[in-house]
Amino acid sequence: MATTSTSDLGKLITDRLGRFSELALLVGAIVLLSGIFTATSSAFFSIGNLVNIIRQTAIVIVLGLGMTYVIISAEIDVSIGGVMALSAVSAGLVINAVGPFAGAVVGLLVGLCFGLANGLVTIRFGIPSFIVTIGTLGIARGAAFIVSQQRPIIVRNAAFESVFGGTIGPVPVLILWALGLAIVAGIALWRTRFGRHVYATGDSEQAARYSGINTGRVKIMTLALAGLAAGIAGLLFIGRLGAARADMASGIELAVIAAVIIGGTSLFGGRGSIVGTILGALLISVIDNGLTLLGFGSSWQQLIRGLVIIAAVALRDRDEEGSFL
Amino acid sequence: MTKQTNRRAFLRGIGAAGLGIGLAGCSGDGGSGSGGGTATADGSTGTSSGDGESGGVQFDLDAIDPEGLVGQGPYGEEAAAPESVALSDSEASNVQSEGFNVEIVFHYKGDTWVRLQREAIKKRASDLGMNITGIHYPDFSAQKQSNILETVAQKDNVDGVFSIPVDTAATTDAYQAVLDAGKELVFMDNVAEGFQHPSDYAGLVAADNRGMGTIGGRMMTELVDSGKIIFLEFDVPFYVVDERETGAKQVLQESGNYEVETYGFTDPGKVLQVAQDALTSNPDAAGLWAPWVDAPGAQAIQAIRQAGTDIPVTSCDLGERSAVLMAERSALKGVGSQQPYAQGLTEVDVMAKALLGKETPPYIGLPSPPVARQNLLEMYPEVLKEEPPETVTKHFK
Repeated sequence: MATTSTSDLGKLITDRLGRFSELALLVGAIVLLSGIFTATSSAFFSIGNLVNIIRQTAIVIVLGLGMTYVIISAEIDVSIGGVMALSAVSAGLVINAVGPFAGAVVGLLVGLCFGLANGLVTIRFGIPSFIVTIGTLGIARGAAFIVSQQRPIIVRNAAFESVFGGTIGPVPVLILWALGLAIVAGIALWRTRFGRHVYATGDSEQAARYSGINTGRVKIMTLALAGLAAGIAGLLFIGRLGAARADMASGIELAVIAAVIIGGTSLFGGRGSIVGTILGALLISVIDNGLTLLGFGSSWQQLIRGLVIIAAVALRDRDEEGSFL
Repeated sequence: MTKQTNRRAFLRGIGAAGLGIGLAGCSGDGGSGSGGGTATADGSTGTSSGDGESGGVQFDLDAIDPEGLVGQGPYGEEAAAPESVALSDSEASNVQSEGFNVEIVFHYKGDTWVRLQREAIKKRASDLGMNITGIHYPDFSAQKQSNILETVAQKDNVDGVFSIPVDTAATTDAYQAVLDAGKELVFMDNVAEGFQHPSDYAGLVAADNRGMGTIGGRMMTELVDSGKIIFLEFDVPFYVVDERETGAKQVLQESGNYEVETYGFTDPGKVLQVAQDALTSNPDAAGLWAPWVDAPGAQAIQAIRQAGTDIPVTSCDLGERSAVLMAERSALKGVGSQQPYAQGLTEVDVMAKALLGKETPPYIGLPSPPVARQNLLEMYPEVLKEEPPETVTKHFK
């Protein structure tokens, strides 16, 4: 028994060290790339540009928070781009017709309802979340086009903008939202009973169930959180750009999943962290920003992003089954 | 246990698929798809409708060509001619001695319009000793375009930016960042919302997109006396295309002889099915209009061929694909064309004048000529600044 405990402790320490080294590797990659870009572009290491990088990452981070929960619980949500668009378009219409508070509530409710629907259908009908969320992606995106009547919804509301898109001093509110939500999501995942249940459910659903965890409810809640995050991201999108469009955030789900995976979250569930997701998103943003400053277009950004995804996973320790993911 | 293993295998499959897609770009740029215009073994798509000059049709192009520009500037301005910004020798020499740096921020990449604009700007900028330090394509995403503009605004060595807004409202703040950084802005086709000339931007150089739609509509009225017209409409909000749709629809509706059946699409690379469905629902359709040829119009032509009908198509934009389709007497009978190369040259002249601190007009419009098979060989080099390729000329031998 004592041997087992020692072994478990050793495994835990090794596991934690492994995670730490993965995060350190990501930080190292960001620092290295930043050094290269600073050496090649005088604009890179300026306050304005660093704020730009974080601001440009903020929406992916917010979406990534929900996605991290979902993937750790061994599910996936590819509907977030469509849900975000529908939330934003709905919120925009209500802001213009009723007011900013009502608009924000509607945006959040749309996201939350889609997230809950994803979870309930996945668990109650036993349909894989990948399939369910492909369906809701189409539903949400199509509804966004119908609701918006194929027109951009322009939102010019000072109160809304000050909460979701303004600045406090030199710091964009968008960054504060991302930071605040990341802290809450990180603490909830790391320090609460629910967070431990998410890890346990993703690591081994059967074992978690035998331990008395209602794994179905955990998964429903993680998918609901992803929907809620999409709703928040929709509001932040309006705050940032002053408009909502039905075609907005097209393909963003892949960028978010990439950030989460690069950040060390296992696609098979059971492991991952909010810090890793933030670092993964930042790494992609640093690459995009640096290449833009150097005059390289989106083709190079896509190519290098693809290489980074493979490299990040290849450099990771294999799990017990010998898999990288 | 088996269930767990199956789940893992399933997730592993998703992982592989997800990463594969991630490799493909983590972005949605609409794709390019395939469709009409693919030559068969005998070099024809097979919808020959006669041996007249325009596939059995001889348009009265003088009557079709709108007199002057149909569209106006964003604030209702009358268009200035491109010649109004022609540089004097001394101005050209001053620009050359300054060695200005400029960047281009397009809306997306991969079509003839973007290619010709890019080539023209590069050519004229090179002639004037301007350096192009970056060319960007934000995949039709307002957010990506904003990110790029905000990043370009940080570059101290950039003096001016050419750009076409993906969304005039959503990108305003990003263009403001460029403006605040002290860079000159020359817009293509539309300006950011709220921007005023000359304080906020040097000039707008635009094709007459409404005129292009008008041309397609008028061509259709010459081709078909009355009946149902399938009207393919781009459901993604984009000012340039909206203008074309307005122009074409206005002609058809004002005549009172046509029933316009509108079918929307959001992915320009996936119009084949939309067109097939439209043709199935409207077997009595007399014609079809598409907002541009490559790929929506070309795919609609493919659908027409597959349906075994020969209704005429009119559209917008002259490029190699539309030229081949007209040359081989397919269903495409004519287009209203832009002049992207001439537009690009003019944009550089506006930028040069602005960088020298000279006055520039707010809106410079380029007329949109009608192009059909009967004037194709003449218009191709005029618009595209290159000789028509063999894929086009072989149909005239």
